[in-house]
Amino acid sequence: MTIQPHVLAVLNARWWLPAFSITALLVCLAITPNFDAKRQAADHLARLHAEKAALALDVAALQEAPLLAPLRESWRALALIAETHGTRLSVTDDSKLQDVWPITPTPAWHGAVTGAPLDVLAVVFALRPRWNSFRPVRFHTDDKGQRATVLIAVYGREAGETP
Amino acid sequence: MNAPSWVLNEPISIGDVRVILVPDVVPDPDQIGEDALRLVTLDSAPSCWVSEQQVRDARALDPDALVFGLWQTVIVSGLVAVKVPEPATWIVWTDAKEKRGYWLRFEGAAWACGSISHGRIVGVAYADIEFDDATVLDPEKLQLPRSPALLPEEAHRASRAANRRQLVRHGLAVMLVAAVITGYWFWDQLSADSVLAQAADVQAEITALRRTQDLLLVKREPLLAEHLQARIEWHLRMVRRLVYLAGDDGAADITALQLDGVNGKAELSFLDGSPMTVEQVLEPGSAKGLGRATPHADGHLTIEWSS
Repeated sequence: MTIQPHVLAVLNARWWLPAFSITALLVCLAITPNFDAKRQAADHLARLHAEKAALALDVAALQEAPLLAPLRESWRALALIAETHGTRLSVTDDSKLQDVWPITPTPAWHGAVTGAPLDVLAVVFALRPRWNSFRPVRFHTDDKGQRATVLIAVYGREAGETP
Repeated sequence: MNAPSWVLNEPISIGDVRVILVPDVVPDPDQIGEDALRLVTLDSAPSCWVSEQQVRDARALDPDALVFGLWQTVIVSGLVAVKVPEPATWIVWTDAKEKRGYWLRFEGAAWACGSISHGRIVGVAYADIEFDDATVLDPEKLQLPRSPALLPEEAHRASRAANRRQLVRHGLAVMLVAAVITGYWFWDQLSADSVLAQAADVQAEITALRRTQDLLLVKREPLLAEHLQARIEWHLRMVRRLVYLAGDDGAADITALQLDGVNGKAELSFLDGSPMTVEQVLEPGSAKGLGRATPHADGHLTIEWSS
């Protein structure tokens, strides 16, 4: 193989070889920290372990949780509490409030308790010991502050029925 | 005169190396002509020159012997001080009995050299040099210079070979580094695969747990997390205060949005104008954790808080 004169001149310069080596070394040093597939996998595994531990706790707690009452029965209980505090329970139009209701596989009916603000608050606090079954999700009053509404998700068995 | 003689223009051994010493010229190549070849010596040393013909003759004599200049070898061996030279004259005898040899001289910051035949300097330029104080050099403890005298084509070949060697050396170094990096990458990937296999097992367990959770969720009361309970209660306390505040004097549009959400917001209007600060709206201490109260020109007050 014949080395061309201009190539020979570069070769004779001798500076480019160490420069090339140092550059290659620097590139290697720069990319080596990116070889962290094992660390990422380990982090992923740690997250999964944490998720599994939390899930196992939830499942254990659920197994200890009381059985759900039938939906119709829960609805009647809520209606009775609402009536007791001078408020009224009505069925809510779900389609407008899809982003409000908690996503859960538990069957639920969605109701609105309406009345004087303090009465509505009294209803909510009356439900406080049973928030696992009656979950208040949103509160608002009208423009004049005379009437308030709280949206409540009612959980129970027997999905598919309507209130 | 009993000084040992130097052997020039014949193969000799220095150490284990077969060499041929040839008389070189210091420092002016004009004494040789156009085919002068510069010899490698020390950085501070004067230039030493031989002719191509001298090298070719030596090659003809012994093709395997390395060719070095006489003064080149003398200087590299340290027999002549060249770093801080003092005026002096050195002589090497090739035939001490017949007084034939070569001389080297430093005087007036200049080097000169020549030959001696029958005890007399050859040529007229340096005929006045006296040898009484000259140092006669022995051919002992000679060290070989870094590079022998090379013909132009040999020098070219040697340069190419040196370049190739350097190229190969650096290429090997780079390949070694690349191999290490690649090996590390493979090791990283293999280790990651091992961990990911474990992760797949854990993921399968999570999937099974989720399935169990879904089955339980349609039978058991869904548990409201404690932090969500606390969040809802905080919102409700805020709402109760605001409802009391609005009371008969004003109107309130309280939108705590999702009660298990982080942020709440209320729009209040007052008949007597808006309070300017949260502390004016709520009793001291209860404003802790509130975001801000923003009064509006039309008398409304926006209160935002987070649980």
